[in-house]
Amino acid sequence: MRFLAWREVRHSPVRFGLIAGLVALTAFLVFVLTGLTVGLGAADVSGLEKLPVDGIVYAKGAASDLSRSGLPAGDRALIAKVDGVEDVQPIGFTMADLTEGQNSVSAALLAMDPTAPFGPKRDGVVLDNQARGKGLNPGDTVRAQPGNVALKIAGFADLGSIQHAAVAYLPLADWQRLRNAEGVSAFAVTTRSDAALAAIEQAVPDTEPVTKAAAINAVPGYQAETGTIGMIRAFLYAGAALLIGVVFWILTLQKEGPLAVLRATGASRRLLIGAYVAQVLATALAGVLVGAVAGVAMGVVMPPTVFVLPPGEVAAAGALLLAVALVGAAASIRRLFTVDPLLSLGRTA
Amino acid sequence: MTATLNDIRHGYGDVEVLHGVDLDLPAGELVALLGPSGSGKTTLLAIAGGLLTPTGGTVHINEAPLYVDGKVDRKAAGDTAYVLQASSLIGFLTVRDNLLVRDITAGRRTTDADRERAADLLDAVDLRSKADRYPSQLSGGERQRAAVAAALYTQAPVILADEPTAALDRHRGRAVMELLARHAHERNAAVLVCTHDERALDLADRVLRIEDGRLG
Ligand SMILES: Nc1ncnc2c1ncn2[C@@H]1O[C@H](COP(=O)(O)OP(=O)(O)O)[C@@H](O)[C@H]1O
Ligand SMILES: [Mg+2]
Repeated sequence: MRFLAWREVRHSPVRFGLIAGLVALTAFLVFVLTGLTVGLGAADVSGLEKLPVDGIVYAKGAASDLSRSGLPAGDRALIAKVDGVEDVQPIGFTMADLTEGQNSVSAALLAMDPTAPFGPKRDGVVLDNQARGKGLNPGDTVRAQPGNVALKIAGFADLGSIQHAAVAYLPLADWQRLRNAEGVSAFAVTTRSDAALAAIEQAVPDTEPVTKAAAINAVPGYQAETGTIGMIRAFLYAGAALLIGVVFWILTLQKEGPLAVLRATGASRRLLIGAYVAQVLATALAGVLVGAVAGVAMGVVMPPTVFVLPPGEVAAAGALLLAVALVGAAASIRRLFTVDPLLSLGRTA
Repeated sequence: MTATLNDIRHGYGDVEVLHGVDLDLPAGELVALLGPSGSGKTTLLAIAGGLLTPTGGTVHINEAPLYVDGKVDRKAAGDTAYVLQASSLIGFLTVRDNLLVRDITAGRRTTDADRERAADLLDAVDLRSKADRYPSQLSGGERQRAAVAAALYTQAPVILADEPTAALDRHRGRAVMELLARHAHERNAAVLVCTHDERALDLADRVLRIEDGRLG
Protein backbone atom coordinates (compact mmCIF):
# COMPACT_ATOMS: atom_id res chain seq x y z
CA MET A 1 0.00 0.00 0.00
CA ARG A 2 2.98 2.28 0.51
CA PHE A 3 3.50 1.59 -3.16
CA LEU A 4 0.08 3.03 -3.92
CA ALA A 5 0.82 6.27 -2.07
CA TRP A 6 4.08 6.56 -3.96
CA ARG A 7 2.30 5.95 -7.26
CA GLU A 8 0.04 8.88 -6.53
CA VAL A 9 3.03 11.12 -5.88
CA ARG A 10 4.60 10.04 -9.15
CA HIS A 11 1.40 10.68 -11.02
CA SER A 12 1.16 14.26 -9.73
CA PRO A 13 4.78 15.35 -9.27
CA VAL A 14 3.90 19.01 -9.70
CA ARG A 15 1.26 19.00 -7.00
CA PHE A 16 3.39 17.16 -4.48
CA GLY A 17 6.46 19.15 -5.50
CA LEU A 18 4.63 22.40 -4.89
CA ILE A 19 3.47 21.24 -1.50
CA ALA A 20 6.95 20.08 -0.51
CA GLY A 21 8.25 23.42 -1.84
CA LEU A 22 5.78 25.32 0.29
CA VAL A 23 6.85 23.34 3.34
CA ALA A 24 10.50 23.98 2.44
CA LEU A 25 9.96 27.73 2.15
CA THR A 26 8.01 27.89 5.37
CA ALA A 27 10.61 25.81 7.18
CA PHE A 28 13.38 27.99 5.76
CA LEU A 29 11.61 31.13 6.98
CA VAL A 30 11.22 29.62 10.44
CA PHE A 31 14.87 28.55 10.50
CA VAL A 32 16.13 31.94 9.33
CA LEU A 33 14.16 33.81 11.95
CA THR A 34 15.28 31.30 14.57
CA GLY A 35 18.89 31.76 13.49
CA LEU A 36 18.60 35.52 13.64
CA THR A 37 16.90 35.42 17.04
CA VAL A 38 19.47 33.13 18.55
CA GLY A 39 22.26 35.09 16.83
CA LEU A 40 20.98 38.40 18.14
CA GLY A 41 20.60 37.00 21.64
CA ALA A 42 24.07 35.48 21.47
CA ALA A 43 25.56 38.80 20.36
CA ASP A 44 24.18 40.28 23.53
CA VAL A 45 25.08 37.62 26.08
CA SER A 46 27.20 34.77 24.68
CA GLY A 47 30.28 36.17 26.41
CA LEU A 48 28.55 35.63 29.75
CA GLU A 49 27.12 32.30 28.69
CA LYS A 50 30.58 30.99 27.97
CA LEU A 51 31.80 31.72 31.51
CA PRO A 52 31.74 28.37 33.33
CA VAL A 53 30.47 29.82 36.60
CA ASP A 54 27.28 29.48 38.64
CA GLY A 55 26.63 33.04 39.69
CA ILE A 56 27.83 36.61 39.62
CA VAL A 57 28.12 38.88 42.61
CA TYR A 58 27.34 42.49 41.70
CA ALA A 59 27.38 45.61 43.82
CA LYS A 60 24.04 46.32 45.42
CA GLY A 61 22.02 48.76 43.33
CA ALA A 62 23.97 48.04 40.13
CA ALA A 63 20.94 46.27 38.64
CA SER A 64 23.13 43.31 37.67
CA ASP A 65 24.87 45.51 35.11
CA LEU A 66 28.61 44.90 34.90
CA SER A 67 29.19 48.44 33.61
CA ARG A 68 27.56 49.92 36.67
CA SER A 69 28.85 47.50 39.27
CA GLY A 70 31.96 48.10 41.38
CA LEU A 71 33.20 46.20 44.39
CA PRO A 72 36.35 46.37 46.52
CA ALA A 73 38.91 43.68 45.67
CA GLY A 74 38.94 42.69 49.34
CA ASP A 75 35.43 41.24 49.05
CA ARG A 76 36.99 38.24 47.36
CA ALA A 77 38.24 36.82 50.62
CA LEU A 78 34.89 37.46 52.34
CA ILE A 79 32.95 35.71 49.59
CA ALA A 80 35.37 32.78 49.56
CA LYS A 81 34.64 32.14 53.21
CA VAL A 82 30.88 31.80 52.67
CA ASP A 83 29.54 28.28 53.09
CA GLY A 84 28.91 26.58 49.72
CA VAL A 85 31.23 28.78 47.70
CA GLU A 86 33.87 26.78 45.85
CA ASP A 87 35.65 29.43 43.85
CA VAL A 88 35.61 33.22 43.52
CA GLN A 89 37.13 35.09 40.61
CA PRO A 90 37.23 38.88 40.31
CA ILE A 91 35.93 40.33 37.05
CA GLY A 92 36.60 43.70 35.52
CA PHE A 93 34.36 44.95 32.77
CA THR A 94 34.53 47.91 30.41
CA MET A 95 33.28 48.62 26.92
CA ALA A 96 36.23 49.97 24.98
CA ASP A 97 37.60 50.56 21.51
CA LEU A 98 40.87 48.85 20.73
CA THR A 99 42.72 50.92 18.15
CA GLU A 100 45.89 50.48 16.22
CA GLY A 101 46.51 53.09 13.54
CA GLN A 102 43.50 52.95 11.19
CA ASN A 103 42.25 49.68 12.63
CA SER A 104 39.72 49.61 15.42
CA VAL A 105 37.55 47.02 17.11
CA SER A 106 34.93 47.73 19.70
CA ALA A 107 35.32 45.24 22.46
CA ALA A 108 33.73 44.19 25.72
CA LEU A 109 36.78 43.99 27.94
CA LEU A 110 36.45 41.17 30.44
CA ALA A 111 39.31 41.23 32.88
CA MET A 112 40.26 38.40 35.19
CA ASP A 113 43.12 36.99 37.17
CA PRO A 114 45.59 35.31 34.85
CA THR A 115 45.29 32.31 37.18
CA ALA A 116 41.49 32.03 36.81
CA PRO A 117 40.49 28.48 35.81
CA PHE A 118 38.50 29.75 32.81
CA GLY A 119 40.73 32.66 31.91
CA PRO A 120 43.04 32.95 28.91
CA LYS A 121 46.12 32.26 31.03
CA ARG A 122 48.12 34.55 28.77
CA ASP A 123 49.60 37.98 29.01
CA GLY A 124 47.98 40.60 26.89
CA VAL A 125 44.58 40.71 25.24
CA VAL A 126 42.82 37.68 23.80
CA LEU A 127 40.08 38.68 21.35
CA ASP A 128 37.02 36.80 20.24
CA ASN A 129 37.36 35.22 16.80
CA GLN A 130 34.93 37.71 15.26
CA ALA A 131 37.69 40.34 15.55
CA ARG A 132 39.90 38.40 13.17
CA GLY A 133 40.48 40.00 9.82
CA LYS A 134 39.98 43.51 11.09
CA GLY A 135 43.61 44.43 10.76
CA LEU A 136 44.61 43.47 14.30
CA ASN A 137 47.12 40.66 14.60
CA PRO A 138 48.80 38.84 17.48
CA GLY A 139 51.81 40.83 18.60
CA ASP A 140 50.23 44.16 17.67
CA THR A 141 50.01 46.80 20.31
CA VAL A 142 46.63 48.49 20.53
CA ARG A 143 45.40 51.43 22.53
CA ALA A 144 42.30 51.00 24.62
CA GLN A 145 39.94 53.99 24.60
CA PRO A 146 38.81 55.40 26.95
CA GLY A 147 41.84 55.08 29.21
CA ASN A 148 44.50 55.31 26.53
CA VAL A 149 46.38 52.30 27.82
CA ALA A 150 48.63 50.28 25.54
CA LEU A 151 47.81 46.56 25.37
CA LYS A 152 49.42 43.76 23.42
CA ILE A 153 47.27 41.36 21.44
CA ALA A 154 48.07 37.79 22.49
CA GLY A 155 45.71 35.96 20.17
CA PHE A 156 42.18 34.97 19.32
CA ALA A 157 39.76 32.51 20.89
CA ASP A 158 36.06 31.66 20.98
CA LEU A 159 34.96 34.09 23.68
CA GLY A 160 31.58 35.32 22.41
CA SER A 161 30.05 38.78 22.60
CA ILE A 162 28.54 41.00 25.20
CA GLN A 163 26.18 43.80 24.17
CA HIS A 164 27.04 43.26 20.51
CA ALA A 165 30.78 43.79 21.08
CA ALA A 166 33.47 41.16 20.77
CA VAL A 167 34.64 39.92 24.15
CA ALA A 168 38.30 40.54 24.93
CA TYR A 169 39.96 38.83 27.89
CA LEU A 170 42.76 40.72 29.60
CA PRO A 171 44.61 40.50 32.91
CA LEU A 172 42.90 42.26 35.79
CA ALA A 173 45.99 44.36 36.46
CA ASP A 174 45.84 45.86 32.96
CA TRP A 175 42.18 46.61 33.39
CA GLN A 176 42.82 48.30 36.74
CA ARG A 177 45.49 50.40 35.06
CA LEU A 178 43.01 51.29 32.33
CA ARG A 179 40.37 52.30 34.86
CA ASN A 180 42.93 53.81 37.17
CA ALA A 181 41.17 51.99 40.02
CA GLU A 182 41.91 49.36 42.65
CA GLY A 183 38.58 47.62 42.78
CA VAL A 184 36.81 45.16 40.49
CA SER A 185 33.44 45.17 38.70
CA ALA A 186 32.03 41.98 40.15
CA PHE A 187 32.92 38.44 41.20
CA ALA A 188 32.20 35.26 39.31
CA VAL A 189 31.47 32.45 41.74
CA THR A 190 31.28 28.69 41.56
CA THR A 191 28.95 27.32 44.20
CA ARG A 192 27.64 24.03 45.45
CA SER A 193 24.06 25.33 45.25
CA ASP A 194 22.10 28.52 44.67
CA ALA A 195 21.65 28.75 48.42
CA ALA A 196 25.26 29.89 48.64
CA LEU A 197 24.32 33.00 46.63
CA ALA A 198 21.81 34.06 49.29
CA ALA A 199 24.42 33.37 51.93
CA ILE A 200 26.88 35.69 50.15
CA GLU A 201 24.35 38.49 50.22
CA GLN A 202 23.96 37.96 53.98
CA ALA A 203 27.66 37.71 54.71
CA VAL A 204 29.15 40.38 52.48
CA PRO A 205 27.63 43.85 52.76
CA ASP A 206 26.51 45.78 49.70
CA THR A 207 26.57 42.79 47.37
CA GLU A 208 23.85 41.43 45.13
CA PRO A 209 24.61 37.88 43.98
CA VAL A 210 22.52 36.44 41.14
CA THR A 211 22.54 33.19 39.20
CA LYS A 212 24.23 33.13 35.82
CA ALA A 213 20.84 32.88 34.11
CA ALA A 214 19.62 35.98 35.94
CA ALA A 215 22.83 37.79 35.06
CA ILE A 216 22.28 37.00 31.39
CA ASN A 217 18.68 38.23 31.51
CA ALA A 218 19.84 41.43 33.13
CA VAL A 219 22.23 42.37 30.33
CA PRO A 220 20.97 45.75 29.10
CA GLY A 221 18.68 45.41 26.07
CA TYR A 222 18.68 41.61 26.10
CA GLN A 223 15.16 41.11 27.38
CA ALA A 224 13.68 43.86 25.23
CA GLU A 225 15.31 42.43 22.11
CA THR A 226 14.53 38.79 22.75
CA GLY A 227 11.03 39.67 23.92
CA THR A 228 10.13 41.52 20.73
CA ILE A 229 11.71 39.10 18.36
CA GLY A 230 10.38 36.21 20.41
CA MET A 231 6.88 37.48 19.82
CA ILE A 232 7.50 37.76 16.08
CA ARG A 233 8.82 34.25 16.19
CA ALA A 234 5.77 32.98 18.04
CA PHE A 235 3.52 34.51 15.37
CA LEU A 236 5.62 33.02 12.59
CA TYR A 237 5.45 29.61 14.23
CA ALA A 238 1.70 29.88 14.62
CA GLY A 239 1.29 31.07 11.03
CA ALA A 240 3.56 28.36 9.66
CA ALA A 241 1.76 25.70 11.68
CA LEU A 242 -1.63 26.89 10.46
CA LEU A 243 -0.49 27.12 6.85
CA ILE A 244 1.07 23.68 6.76
CA GLY A 245 -1.81 22.13 8.68
CA VAL A 246 -4.37 23.60 6.28
CA VAL A 247 -2.38 22.59 3.19
CA PHE A 248 -2.28 18.97 4.27
CA TRP A 249 -5.87 19.11 5.41
CA ILE A 250 -6.91 20.17 1.92
CA LEU A 251 -4.52 17.76 0.21
CA THR A 252 -6.08 14.89 2.10
CA LEU A 253 -9.64 16.10 1.58
CA GLN A 254 -8.98 15.92 -2.16
CA LYS A 255 -8.50 12.20 -1.77
CA GLU A 256 -12.17 11.72 -1.11
CA GLY A 257 -12.86 10.21 -4.56
CA PRO A 258 -9.94 7.78 -4.85
CA LEU A 259 -10.29 6.89 -1.21
CA ALA A 260 -13.94 5.98 -1.67
CA VAL A 261 -13.04 3.78 -4.62
CA LEU A 262 -10.36 2.05 -2.59
CA ARG A 263 -12.75 1.57 0.28
CA ALA A 264 -15.29 0.13 -2.16
CA THR A 265 -12.69 -2.40 -3.23
CA GLY A 266 -12.48 -3.53 0.37
CA ALA A 267 -9.15 -1.98 1.33
CA SER A 268 -8.79 -1.89 5.10
CA ARG A 269 -8.80 1.33 6.99
CA ARG A 270 -5.41 0.55 8.46
CA LEU A 271 -3.86 -0.03 5.06
CA LEU A 272 -5.23 3.21 3.65
CA ILE A 273 -4.39 5.34 6.66
CA GLY A 274 -0.89 3.86 6.78
CA ALA A 275 -0.33 4.71 3.14
CA TYR A 276 -1.57 8.27 3.47
CA VAL A 277 0.32 8.93 6.67
CA ALA A 278 3.48 7.71 4.95
CA GLN A 279 2.75 9.97 1.98
CA VAL A 280 2.11 13.03 4.14
CA LEU A 281 5.20 12.37 6.23
CA ALA A 282 7.38 11.85 3.17
CA THR A 283 6.13 15.05 1.49
CA ALA A 284 6.48 17.15 4.63
CA LEU A 285 9.82 15.63 5.53
CA ALA A 286 11.21 16.32 2.06
CA GLY A 287 10.16 19.95 2.49
CA VAL A 288 11.56 20.29 5.99
CA LEU A 289 14.86 18.73 4.94
CA VAL A 290 15.26 21.13 2.01
CA GLY A 291 14.37 24.04 4.31
CA ALA A 292 16.84 22.84 6.93
CA VAL A 293 19.65 22.45 4.41
CA ALA A 294 18.99 26.00 3.18
CA GLY A 295 18.85 27.26 6.78
CA VAL A 296 22.11 25.58 7.72
CA ALA A 297 23.72 26.90 4.55
CA MET A 298 22.60 30.36 5.62
CA GLY A 299 24.39 29.78 8.92
CA VAL A 300 27.57 28.91 7.06
CA VAL A 301 27.41 32.10 5.00
CA MET A 302 26.35 34.49 7.77
CA PRO A 303 28.75 35.49 10.56
CA PRO A 304 28.03 33.83 13.90
CA THR A 305 27.55 37.22 15.51
CA VAL A 306 24.36 37.62 13.48
CA PHE A 307 23.07 34.14 12.80
CA VAL A 308 23.26 31.06 15.00
CA LEU A 309 21.12 28.01 14.21
CA PRO A 310 21.45 25.39 16.95
CA PRO A 311 20.66 21.80 15.80
CA GLY A 312 18.17 21.46 18.64
CA GLU A 313 16.13 24.38 17.32
CA VAL A 314 16.19 22.92 13.81
CA ALA A 315 14.98 19.57 15.11
CA ALA A 316 12.24 21.16 17.23
CA ALA A 317 10.94 23.43 14.46
CA GLY A 318 11.14 20.58 11.94
CA ALA A 319 9.27 18.24 14.26
CA LEU A 320 6.60 20.91 14.81
CA LEU A 321 6.02 21.29 11.07
CA LEU A 322 5.86 17.52 10.58
CA ALA A 323 3.43 17.24 13.46
CA VAL A 324 1.03 19.90 12.14
CA ALA A 325 1.17 18.31 8.68
CA LEU A 326 0.06 15.05 10.28
CA VAL A 327 -2.59 16.75 12.37
CA GLY A 328 -4.01 18.50 9.30
CA ALA A 329 -4.05 15.23 7.37
CA ALA A 330 -5.51 13.34 10.31
CA ALA A 331 -8.36 15.83 10.62
CA SER A 332 -9.49 15.17 7.06
CA ILE A 333 -8.78 11.43 7.17
CA ARG A 334 -11.11 11.24 10.15
CA ARG A 335 -13.80 12.99 8.20
CA LEU A 336 -13.30 10.91 5.07
CA PHE A 337 -13.67 7.67 6.96
CA THR A 338 -16.88 8.65 8.68
CA VAL A 339 -18.68 9.23 5.38
CA ASP A 340 -20.21 6.29 3.53
CA PRO A 341 -18.14 5.72 0.37
CA LEU A 342 -21.21 6.09 -1.87
CA LEU A 343 -21.85 9.58 -0.56
CA SER A 344 -18.20 10.50 -1.12
CA LEU A 345 -18.47 9.34 -4.69
CA GLY A 346 -21.78 11.10 -5.18
CA ARG A 347 -20.02 14.31 -4.40
CA THR A 348 -17.07 13.78 -6.69
CA ALA A 349 -18.87 12.00 -9.57
CA MET B 1 -22.26 -17.78 -2.19
CA THR B 2 -25.43 -15.79 -1.82
CA ALA B 3 -26.43 -12.32 -0.83
CA THR B 4 -29.70 -11.72 1.00
CA LEU B 5 -31.34 -8.37 1.62
CA ASN B 6 -34.19 -8.13 4.08
CA ASP B 7 -36.67 -5.29 4.45
CA ILE B 8 -34.13 -2.71 3.33
CA ARG B 9 -35.16 0.89 3.95
CA HIS B 10 -33.12 3.92 3.27
CA GLY B 11 -33.66 7.63 3.63
CA TYR B 12 -31.52 10.58 2.60
CA GLY B 13 -32.32 13.02 5.36
CA ASP B 14 -36.08 12.87 5.90
CA VAL B 15 -36.88 11.44 2.48
CA GLU B 16 -37.23 7.68 2.36
CA VAL B 17 -36.22 6.36 -1.08
CA LEU B 18 -36.29 2.61 -0.35
CA HIS B 19 -39.42 1.34 1.36
CA GLY B 20 -38.62 -2.18 2.53
CA VAL B 21 -36.92 -4.17 -0.20
CA ASP B 22 -36.41 -7.94 0.01
CA LEU B 23 -33.92 -9.38 -2.43
CA ASP B 24 -32.24 -12.75 -2.74
CA LEU B 25 -29.18 -13.18 -4.92
CA PRO B 26 -28.41 -16.87 -5.26
CA ALA B 27 -25.07 -18.18 -6.41
CA GLY B 28 -24.70 -18.86 -10.11
CA GLU B 29 -27.39 -16.43 -11.16
CA LEU B 30 -27.31 -13.14 -13.05
CA VAL B 31 -30.15 -10.98 -11.79
CA ALA B 32 -31.08 -7.84 -13.67
CA LEU B 33 -32.69 -5.00 -11.76
CA LEU B 34 -34.63 -2.76 -14.07
CA GLY B 35 -36.00 0.59 -13.10
CA PRO B 36 -36.29 4.19 -14.17
CA SER B 37 -33.83 6.81 -13.08
CA GLY B 38 -34.37 7.81 -9.49
CA SER B 39 -36.12 4.59 -8.51
CA GLY B 40 -33.43 3.66 -5.98
CA LYS B 41 -31.20 1.24 -7.92
CA THR B 42 -27.89 2.86 -6.98
CA THR B 43 -28.97 3.19 -3.37
CA LEU B 44 -29.94 -0.48 -3.18
CA LEU B 45 -26.74 -1.71 -4.82
CA ALA B 46 -24.57 0.45 -2.61
CA ILE B 47 -26.30 -0.98 0.43
CA ALA B 48 -25.80 -4.52 -0.87
CA GLY B 49 -22.14 -3.74 -1.54
CA GLY B 50 -21.27 -2.28 1.84
CA LEU B 51 -20.91 1.26 0.57
CA LEU B 52 -23.89 2.75 2.32
CA THR B 53 -25.30 1.92 5.72
CA PRO B 54 -29.07 1.47 5.35
CA THR B 55 -31.49 3.22 7.64
CA GLY B 56 -33.25 -0.10 8.23
CA GLY B 57 -33.14 -3.78 7.31
CA THR B 58 -30.36 -6.34 7.06
CA VAL B 59 -27.90 -7.57 4.46
CA HIS B 60 -26.28 -10.99 4.71
CA ILE B 61 -23.42 -12.20 2.58
CA ASN B 62 -23.56 -15.97 2.99
CA GLU B 63 -25.29 -15.80 6.38
CA ALA B 64 -22.78 -13.22 7.69
CA PRO B 65 -24.30 -9.83 8.46
CA LEU B 66 -22.75 -7.09 6.32
CA TYR B 67 -23.62 -4.27 8.71
CA VAL B 68 -22.95 -4.65 12.40
CA ASP B 69 -23.86 -1.77 14.72
CA GLY B 70 -24.30 0.55 11.77
CA LYS B 71 -20.79 -0.21 10.51
CA VAL B 72 -19.81 -2.36 7.57
CA ASP B 73 -18.11 -5.65 8.36
CA ARG B 74 -14.99 -5.68 6.22
CA LYS B 75 -14.68 -9.42 5.95
CA ALA B 76 -18.17 -9.78 4.57
CA ALA B 77 -17.68 -6.77 2.32
CA GLY B 78 -14.46 -8.29 1.03
CA ASP B 79 -16.51 -10.95 -0.75
CA THR B 80 -18.31 -8.40 -2.88
CA ALA B 81 -17.05 -6.41 -5.80
CA TYR B 82 -18.81 -3.31 -6.88
CA VAL B 83 -18.93 -1.54 -10.22
CA LEU B 84 -19.82 2.00 -9.39
CA GLN B 85 -22.06 4.05 -11.58
CA ALA B 86 -19.82 7.07 -11.41
CA SER B 87 -16.31 5.73 -11.68
CA SER B 88 -14.74 2.83 -9.87
CA LEU B 89 -11.32 3.68 -11.20
CA ILE B 90 -8.41 5.27 -9.40
CA GLY B 91 -7.22 8.24 -11.41
CA PHE B 92 -3.52 7.93 -10.68
CA LEU B 93 -3.27 4.30 -11.76
CA THR B 94 -3.20 2.93 -15.30
CA VAL B 95 -6.05 0.76 -16.49
CA ARG B 96 -3.99 -2.39 -15.89
CA ASP B 97 -2.97 -1.29 -12.41
CA ASN B 98 -6.59 -0.49 -11.62
CA LEU B 99 -7.14 -4.23 -11.95
CA LEU B 100 -3.98 -5.30 -10.14
CA VAL B 101 -4.53 -2.88 -7.28
CA ARG B 102 -7.31 -5.15 -6.07
CA ASP B 103 -4.62 -7.62 -5.05
CA ILE B 104 -2.94 -4.99 -2.93
CA THR B 105 -6.15 -3.92 -1.20
CA ALA B 106 -6.95 -7.58 -0.58
CA GLY B 107 -3.46 -8.14 0.85
CA ARG B 108 -2.47 -10.63 -1.88
CA ARG B 109 0.60 -10.86 -4.02
CA THR B 110 0.08 -10.52 -7.73
CA THR B 111 1.32 -13.63 -9.57
CA ASP B 112 2.16 -14.06 -13.23
CA ALA B 113 -1.08 -15.96 -13.62
CA ASP B 114 -2.89 -12.92 -12.21
CA ARG B 115 -1.21 -10.68 -14.75
CA GLU B 116 -2.31 -13.01 -17.50
CA ARG B 117 -5.86 -13.03 -16.16
CA ALA B 118 -5.84 -9.23 -16.12
CA ALA B 119 -4.67 -9.15 -19.73
CA ASP B 120 -7.40 -11.61 -20.75
CA LEU B 121 -10.05 -9.54 -19.01
CA LEU B 122 -8.86 -6.37 -20.71
CA ASP B 123 -9.02 -8.30 -23.95
CA ALA B 124 -12.56 -9.35 -23.24
CA VAL B 125 -13.66 -5.75 -22.76
CA ASP B 126 -11.63 -4.66 -25.80
CA LEU B 127 -9.15 -2.55 -23.82
CA ARG B 128 -5.90 -4.47 -24.24
CA SER B 129 -4.35 -1.69 -26.31
CA LYS B 130 -5.25 0.89 -23.64
CA ALA B 131 -3.95 -1.00 -20.63
CA ASP B 132 -1.24 1.58 -20.00
CA ARG B 133 -3.48 4.60 -20.20
CA TYR B 134 -4.82 6.52 -17.26
CA PRO B 135 -8.60 6.73 -16.74
CA SER B 136 -8.61 10.38 -17.73
CA GLN B 137 -7.34 9.33 -21.16
CA LEU B 138 -10.32 7.03 -21.76
CA SER B 139 -13.83 7.69 -23.03
CA GLY B 140 -16.79 7.22 -20.71
CA GLY B 141 -17.61 3.87 -22.25
CA GLU B 142 -14.01 2.69 -21.98
CA ARG B 143 -13.92 3.67 -18.35
CA GLN B 144 -17.07 1.69 -17.74
CA ARG B 145 -15.62 -1.40 -19.39
CA ALA B 146 -12.40 -1.01 -17.43
CA ALA B 147 -14.43 -0.82 -14.23
CA VAL B 148 -16.25 -4.05 -15.13
CA ALA B 149 -12.94 -5.75 -15.85
CA ALA B 150 -11.60 -4.55 -12.47
CA ALA B 151 -14.62 -5.96 -10.64
CA LEU B 152 -14.38 -9.30 -12.43
CA TYR B 153 -10.64 -9.43 -11.77
CA THR B 154 -11.32 -9.74 -8.05
CA GLN B 155 -13.12 -13.06 -8.67
CA ALA B 156 -15.49 -11.95 -5.95
CA PRO B 157 -18.35 -14.36 -5.34
CA VAL B 158 -20.78 -11.44 -5.26
CA ILE B 159 -20.68 -8.85 -8.03
CA LEU B 160 -22.82 -5.75 -8.04
CA ALA B 161 -22.79 -3.65 -11.17
CA ASP B 162 -24.50 -0.28 -11.36
CA GLU B 163 -25.52 0.45 -14.96
CA PRO B 164 -22.38 -1.09 -16.44
CA THR B 165 -23.71 -0.75 -19.98
CA ALA B 166 -25.14 2.76 -19.78
CA ALA B 167 -22.57 4.47 -22.00
CA LEU B 168 -22.00 1.50 -24.31
CA ASP B 169 -23.28 0.79 -27.79
CA ARG B 170 -25.52 -2.19 -28.34
CA HIS B 171 -22.71 -4.54 -29.30
CA ARG B 172 -20.37 -3.64 -26.48
CA GLY B 173 -23.16 -3.47 -23.94
CA ARG B 174 -24.12 -6.99 -24.85
CA ALA B 175 -20.50 -8.13 -24.59
CA VAL B 176 -20.29 -6.76 -21.05
CA MET B 177 -23.56 -8.46 -20.07
CA GLU B 178 -22.25 -11.72 -21.50
CA LEU B 179 -19.08 -11.35 -19.47
CA LEU B 180 -21.08 -10.82 -16.28
CA ALA B 181 -23.36 -13.76 -17.06
CA ARG B 182 -20.36 -15.96 -17.72
CA HIS B 183 -18.85 -14.91 -14.38
CA ALA B 184 -22.11 -15.89 -12.64
CA HIS B 185 -22.40 -19.23 -14.35
CA GLU B 186 -18.78 -20.33 -14.53
CA ARG B 187 -17.69 -19.13 -11.12
CA ASN B 188 -20.98 -19.78 -9.40
CA ALA B 189 -21.14 -16.14 -8.36
CA ALA B 190 -24.13 -14.05 -7.39
CA VAL B 191 -24.34 -11.18 -9.89
CA LEU B 192 -26.73 -8.27 -9.75
CA VAL B 193 -26.83 -5.81 -12.61
CA CYS B 194 -29.01 -2.78 -12.47
CA THR B 195 -29.89 -1.01 -15.65
CA HIS B 196 -32.54 0.92 -17.42
CA ASP B 197 -31.52 -0.62 -20.69
CA GLU B 198 -33.79 -3.45 -21.85
CA ARG B 199 -31.69 -4.64 -24.80
CA ALA B 200 -29.63 -7.36 -23.17
CA LEU B 201 -32.20 -8.59 -20.66
CA ASP B 202 -32.37 -11.98 -22.36
CA LEU B 203 -28.96 -12.75 -20.85
CA ALA B 204 -30.29 -12.43 -17.30
CA ASP B 205 -31.53 -15.45 -15.40
CA ARG B 206 -34.07 -13.31 -13.60
CA VAL B 207 -35.37 -9.79 -14.17
CA LEU B 208 -36.66 -7.68 -11.30
CA ARG B 209 -38.28 -4.31 -11.56
CA ILE B 210 -37.99 -1.47 -9.10
CA GLU B 211 -40.11 1.63 -9.03
CA ASP B 212 -40.20 4.38 -6.40
CA GLY B 213 -38.17 2.33 -3.95
CA ARG B 214 -40.31 -0.82 -4.18
CA LEU B 215 -39.65 -4.05 -6.04
CA GLY B 216 -42.52 -4.88 -8.33
N1 LIG C 1 -26.94 11.66 -1.71
C1 LIG C 1 -28.27 11.83 -1.87
N2 LIG C 1 -28.92 12.75 -1.13
C2 LIG C 1 -30.25 12.92 -1.26
N3 LIG C 1 -31.02 12.23 -2.10
C3 LIG C 1 -30.43 11.29 -2.87
C4 LIG C 1 -29.03 11.04 -2.79
N4 LIG C 1 -28.71 10.06 -3.66
C5 LIG C 1 -29.87 9.71 -4.25
N5 LIG C 1 -30.90 10.44 -3.78
C6 LIG C 1 -32.31 10.31 -4.18
O1 LIG C 1 -32.72 8.99 -3.91
C7 LIG C 1 -33.53 8.50 -4.94
C8 LIG C 1 -32.95 7.23 -5.53
O2 LIG C 1 -31.71 7.53 -6.13
P1 LIG C 1 -30.77 6.44 -6.79
O3 LIG C 1 -30.63 5.32 -5.83
O4 LIG C 1 -29.57 7.08 -7.27
O5 LIG C 1 -31.68 5.98 -8.01
P2 LIG C 1 -31.25 5.36 -9.41
O6 LIG C 1 -29.89 4.79 -9.27
O7 LIG C 1 -32.30 4.33 -9.67
O8 LIG C 1 -31.32 6.45 -10.41
C9 LIG C 1 -33.65 9.62 -5.97
O9 LIG C 1 -34.87 10.29 -5.74
C10 LIG C 1 -32.48 10.50 -5.67
O10 LIG C 1 -32.80 11.83 -5.97
MG1 LIG D 1 -28.22 5.14 -10.31
